[in-house]
Amino acid sequence: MQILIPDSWLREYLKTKATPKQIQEALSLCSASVERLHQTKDDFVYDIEVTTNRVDLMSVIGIAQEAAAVLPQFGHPAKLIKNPLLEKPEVKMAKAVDYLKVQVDSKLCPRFTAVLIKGVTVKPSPQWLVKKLELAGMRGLNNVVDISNYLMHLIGQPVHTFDWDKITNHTMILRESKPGEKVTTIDKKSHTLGGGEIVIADGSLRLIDMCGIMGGLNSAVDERTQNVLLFVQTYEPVHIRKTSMSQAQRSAAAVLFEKGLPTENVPPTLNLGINLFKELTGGKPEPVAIDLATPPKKEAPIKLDVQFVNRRLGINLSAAAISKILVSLGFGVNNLQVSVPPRRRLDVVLAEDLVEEVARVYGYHNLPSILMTGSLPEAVHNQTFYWESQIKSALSHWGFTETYTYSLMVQDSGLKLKNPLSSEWAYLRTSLVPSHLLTVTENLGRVKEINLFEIANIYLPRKGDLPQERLHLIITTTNLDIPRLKGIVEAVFNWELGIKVEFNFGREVNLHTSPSCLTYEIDLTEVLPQAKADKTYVPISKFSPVIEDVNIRYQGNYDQLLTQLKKISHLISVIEMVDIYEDKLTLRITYHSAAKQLSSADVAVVRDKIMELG
Amino acid sequence: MRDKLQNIKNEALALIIAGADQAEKDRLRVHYLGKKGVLAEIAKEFPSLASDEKADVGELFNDVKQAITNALGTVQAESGGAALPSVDVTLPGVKPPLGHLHPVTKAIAEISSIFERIGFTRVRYPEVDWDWYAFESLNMPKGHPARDEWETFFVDAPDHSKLGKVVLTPHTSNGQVREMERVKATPPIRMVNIAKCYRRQSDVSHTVMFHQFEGLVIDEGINITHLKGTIDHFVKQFFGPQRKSRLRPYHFQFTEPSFEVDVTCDICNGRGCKLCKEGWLELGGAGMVHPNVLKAGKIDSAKYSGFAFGWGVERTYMMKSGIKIDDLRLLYSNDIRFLTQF
Repeated sequence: MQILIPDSWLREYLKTKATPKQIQEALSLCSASVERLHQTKDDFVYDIEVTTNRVDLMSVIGIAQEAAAVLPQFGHPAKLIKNPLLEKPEVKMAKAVDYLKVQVDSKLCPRFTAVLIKGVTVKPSPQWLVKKLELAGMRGLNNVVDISNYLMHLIGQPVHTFDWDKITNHTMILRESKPGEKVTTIDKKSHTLGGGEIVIADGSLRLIDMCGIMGGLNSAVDERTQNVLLFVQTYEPVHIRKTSMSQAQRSAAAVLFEKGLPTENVPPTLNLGINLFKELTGGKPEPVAIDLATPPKKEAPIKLDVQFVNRRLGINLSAAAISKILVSLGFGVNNLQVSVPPRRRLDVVLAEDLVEEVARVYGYHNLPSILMTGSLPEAVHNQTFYWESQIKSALSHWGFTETYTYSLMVQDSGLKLKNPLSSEWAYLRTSLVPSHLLTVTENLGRVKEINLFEIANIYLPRKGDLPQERLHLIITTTNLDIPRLKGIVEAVFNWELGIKVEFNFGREVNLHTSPSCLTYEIDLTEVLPQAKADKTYVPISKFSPVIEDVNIRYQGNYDQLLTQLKKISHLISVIEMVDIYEDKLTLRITYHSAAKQLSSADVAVVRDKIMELG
Repeated sequence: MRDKLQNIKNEALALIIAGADQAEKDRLRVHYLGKKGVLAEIAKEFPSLASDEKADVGELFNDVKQAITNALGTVQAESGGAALPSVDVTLPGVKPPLGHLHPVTKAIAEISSIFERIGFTRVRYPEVDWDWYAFESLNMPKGHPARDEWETFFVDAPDHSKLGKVVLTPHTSNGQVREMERVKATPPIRMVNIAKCYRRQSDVSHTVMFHQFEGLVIDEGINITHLKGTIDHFVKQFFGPQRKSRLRPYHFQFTEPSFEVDVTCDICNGRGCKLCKEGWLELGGAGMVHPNVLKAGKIDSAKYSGFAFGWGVERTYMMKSGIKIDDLRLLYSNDIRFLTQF
């Protein structure tokens, strides 16, 4: 959540000599982050990011309280001059009033207050109010709307106003909506409700308010309004959130109400509102306001232990220092029994929450930086990361470029997303091939030859379980020379990893051809456990080998020929292909014996047998 | 001596056939046939032979010499130590085929090695996981508004009766409780989990798929100063000794206290400029592990405490000096003209 706080408005509640820059720094380091400090002609404005747990800071008062607590830590004396939330309201409150008949579901609305103000003149607000609102990022509209916005910004409690004369029979029924009910809000949008929204119906049973989100158009204040019902409530947050989401209406009020607001802030807000109406609209408030309140649950104080706090902070603070910080934030502290003020009831529940309060005000920047000692965890024997990096290193050094393609694809894989962002990313992939074919298509013509690889998980559906994640490698090349690709695959697996892998076309295996490229995909999860880094040394023979090239007829199956050759004699130790031309193969044969030096005669016998093959 | 000669012949012919070019052939010629060559040396042993052997061995000797000479081809004109031909060394070099590792791979390698140096173990946890690990065990019950911040993808699959929906992990924090389970709730834990994450967001600073690295440390007596120490170590190692870090208060459901970690901007050196927030760049979130999360991992929060952090790999890498990628989506465009720049 973001809020703009003008410096002059803040200083109506905060007394300090600190400069806006110093306030910015103190708040950012110890409270809410002041992301920017804007300078205007005669003022400064703090642009503050408030985290969702601190809805109490979505207000001038909240920020003033925090500033008063944190500034002294930076050597700037500061104090809160006044706090309207702690003042006793002058207005009388009663459970029933004669100008409004109500029926309220207290589960939906923990506190319901309203007061009738007669004889209101709707007109532009005075300059001081318009200027305040504008600095805070709002627009001045008329005195009635501006009072509501002013109060919400000052206290963080939304306020609504009805034209009292538009409420049929001056009757309100606050309840859950039924499916299909309709309401048009003051922004002239018409909403069909799904049921479960908090709404108010009037005496004619029509809906006049979508509570906590936005008021109804049919009961809104306009320029002819004379009698205003000033309306201050808290609502059950889950309902507000659901409605705000389902109706796509993220109003400022909804953002506050859905966090859950303290009922204690309602009377002071109503009271300030009454005074402003008197001052700015000439209206005459009724002496008694209606107030239907469910008393908040009494929370037991949180017990804090000095040692516990210090163990988490890593320093030594005294009980007095801890108490001083908590008191400055508005907590009640008695012998380290800490009671939480209403506005903090939502985010401070555990002793750990209080540790955070102490630590941040003490200042994270004042804590030392220390690397932990203590015993190391038992190392996991996981070689996957090592082998992955070996494969990546080898392939990149052999001219292949690594890609990272999206794991989501357009093809139906059986693993569909419920809420895809676009149809091209609707399924989790079960193979890396489609992603690489797409990448090749997109890159064709950009370079002469494309050589790519990628290591990524694929996801296989399983019944009643998470998809199985398997790590795959894909090698892709637009060079359609299959023996070259095979050579790369063999170099990676046979040499770098010491494993034999399949290289073939077909469903089970992994070679895929398309008109523009070849791809080879392999399941690393399956093969990596067999990878080994250790090589076995074979002693270098003292007898040198005899090497010669022979020409032999090629009949279409090299693998078969190799098997036949190897059977001929154990003296044939290496066979390499030198050339292939039509049906002629040139093979380089290495003859070697570990037992003796081979003579020409020894070799001749074997050679003759080779020649018999073709 | 016969064996020796036979050996020399085989060896020489093997070397010559192995595709020697002219320079290599010249070298081999000197080695075998030169005045102080292998054959000349062996000839010195002749006098010591028995006379009946001499003729026989002599014949073999000539045979070997002839074979090697033939294999080497006709004698080239002796270069006789002439100067090298003049070469324009400014001509372009012949490059080996150059491949490229993706910047994300480089970043992950660097990040994991920095943490491994201080005793962290790299692990990998599911990228498609149960709601329980991604949210609920992290102190985010069903329907909690904090879940909105993670724009989560859901898989169209039946829910698990206890563990809930199947989600694409929107962060690597799903590894926290999984790691606690792996060590059977017995710290110490020092893990770094690096994995793909997914969120329903795509713009200049967001891609639907990205990577995070998650650190988790749990032991007796772990406190905020250790979190600060670990982050300082990382920042100095990864970004360089001149960069500084700081913690700001923040809020996450699964840590208490929670922090946002900033590092000084590399463009303005922390003085403040258009690209940063008053001299600082946001690195990511961190905090002390919330007692409810320890409880979900069955770890006794009275005895143990810990800290965690989870940051975007891409974002962190972009904050290094000098990378200058203005649109994060480029990383996953797989445009060869982009990839070959790294």
